[in-house]
Amino acid sequence: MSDLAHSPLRLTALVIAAIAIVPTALLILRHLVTLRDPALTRRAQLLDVVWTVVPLLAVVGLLAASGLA
Amino acid sequence: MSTEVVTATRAHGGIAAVVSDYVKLTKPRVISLLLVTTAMAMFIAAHGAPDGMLLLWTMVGGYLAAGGANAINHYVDRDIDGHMKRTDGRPVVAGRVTPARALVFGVACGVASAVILGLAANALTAAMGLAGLVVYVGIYTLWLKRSTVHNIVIGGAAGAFPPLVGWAAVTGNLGLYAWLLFAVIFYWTPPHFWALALLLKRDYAAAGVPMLPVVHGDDATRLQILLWTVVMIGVTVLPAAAGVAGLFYLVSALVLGGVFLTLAWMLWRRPGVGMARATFHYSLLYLALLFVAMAIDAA
Repeated sequence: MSDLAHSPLRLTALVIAAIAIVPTALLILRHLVTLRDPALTRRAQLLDVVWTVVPLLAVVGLLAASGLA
Repeated sequence: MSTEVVTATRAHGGIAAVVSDYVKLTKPRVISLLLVTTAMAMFIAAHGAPDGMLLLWTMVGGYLAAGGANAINHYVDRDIDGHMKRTDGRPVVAGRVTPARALVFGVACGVASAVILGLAANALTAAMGLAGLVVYVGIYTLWLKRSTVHNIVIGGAAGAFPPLVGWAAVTGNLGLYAWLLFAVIFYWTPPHFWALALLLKRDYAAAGVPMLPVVHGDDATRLQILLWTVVMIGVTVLPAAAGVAGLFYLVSALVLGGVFLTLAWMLWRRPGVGMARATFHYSLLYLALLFVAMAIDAA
């Protein structure tokens, strides 16, 4: 595995991934917030937040892990 | 025709029909794509062709794990399957297989998969096969499917286990690349499944399943498909960013992802059943080709 700083391929892929993932994850989050159903119970609303945030945090974590690999 | 011949012919037809119903319980068409990802993960992990017998037994074990999960799903969902056109002919709903037999068959498949994967490969492979079954039945079918609009986002993890099975069978461990393969399927599932949900919205509504288009409508679903497609493309280039895949794979991922994004964009701009169907069908081809590209790149 080549060092990120010395691999144009890795760097290019990482920049593409970051541009695709970070702003879009924020857009998904923003859109899902507008879809929030106030009629849900407090527990259901809390779970809704968890199910929304966890996959988006995970993908940012994967982006970081790939860059640090 | 003599009575004996007629009886024998009916008995033969009966056995064939019974076998056919039990095969249907495993949902073979759905499993075929999962097995492609398992096999390709083995080729990637082995940097070429894996051992033939290991490949064969991993496919058998992988089929039984996924098939067992699907059979248990038939048992659990028998109360709603009858409300959907797509599923109202399933063996349990139609009364051709009793619910108890479907459950026993599913559990037996799961146990058999663990034994086969454990003996032919290793304990980690068996554990990954069972983990996929548990997530599909426990997390998706029993918990999330009927309770949240995020059901297929989180439940999509179940379909992401097959490459972990393949990877573990070859290497005996799960490194970063294996988890990136898991992530590719995990983030592919929302745009793939929501395109299908747009087509089956009435069925899901009739069954009371809170799929995204049922709860929030088609417009919100089409926007989510577009956004998740962009995230998915970002995830697919991560193997190249991590330095475990090369230029061939990066270009392949971007070209294949570009076609997916174009379809998702067209679906968003020009809604219709035709575009939803095209996006869904392409998503199946896309995943298979993406994994083939990874395997070629790794060879």
